[in-house]
Amino acid sequence: MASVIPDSVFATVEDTAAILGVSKARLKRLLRIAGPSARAEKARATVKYKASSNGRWKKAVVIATRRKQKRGKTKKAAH
Amino acid sequence: MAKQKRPRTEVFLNIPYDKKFERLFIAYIAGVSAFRLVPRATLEIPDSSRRLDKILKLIGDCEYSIHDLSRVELDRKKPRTPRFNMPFELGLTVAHKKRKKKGNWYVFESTSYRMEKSLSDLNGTDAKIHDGKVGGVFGELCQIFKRRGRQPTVQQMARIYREVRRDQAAILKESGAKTPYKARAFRDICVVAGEWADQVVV
Repeated sequence: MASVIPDSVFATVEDTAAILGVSKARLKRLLRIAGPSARAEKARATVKYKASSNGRWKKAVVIATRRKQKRGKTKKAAH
Repeated sequence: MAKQKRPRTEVFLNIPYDKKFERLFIAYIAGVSAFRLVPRATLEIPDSSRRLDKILKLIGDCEYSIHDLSRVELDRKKPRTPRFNMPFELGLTVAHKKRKKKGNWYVFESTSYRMEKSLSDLNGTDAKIHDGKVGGVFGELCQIFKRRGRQPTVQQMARIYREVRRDQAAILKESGAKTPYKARAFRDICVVAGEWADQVVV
């Protein structure tokens, strides 16, 4: 079979979701997973290990934004 | 004036659903999405008594279809049997497209002349050889589809593939699936690949 030139319109992510039956709410959530902000947040996150109650080490991911927010709250509390 | 019917944008993926094929599975989704076409698969169809009817409808809905026969081989479990789902669906597709006289179908293989040996009825049809590699799939997809305006490059497809693979764990976690071969996981991966295609292929 030779090459084909699809004459269809370019399917956007909304078209894809509609054809596959993905709800709008789910689409929103998925766009957040694929979005640059989610990627940046993941990159800024630091991984720390905390000892859990059963004696094992538990992986705890700390998002930079939350860490900064927490730091701010501590400062305010100190004042 | 009557509203014109929108041309079909769907591509039927007839591919094996096994662990070893996972990379190529994502590669097909990433590659097809890069051309701004919508991947479809029988994964979307729930197991039911009317499954075959639904498969036929799905084949009819898709203008193009891709059939990967690279994993048609004997399994390890006794009694050792080859998987016939893919050749069977290929047969259904060929019959459907011949009858309707529209649509295109393509056969993908990992090794040259393997299809000629296993399915000699298709002699004269050139199988697309991907060598079992992600890059091979992208290269062959580029040979099949030509898009006016924004023709994606192999590098752009590879970027979409990498990004989807990176997001795969989060997608599977959210859909509660262990493999991408589940209906919801498949849909979610296709949407995420579509989103990356929007960002990468400009």
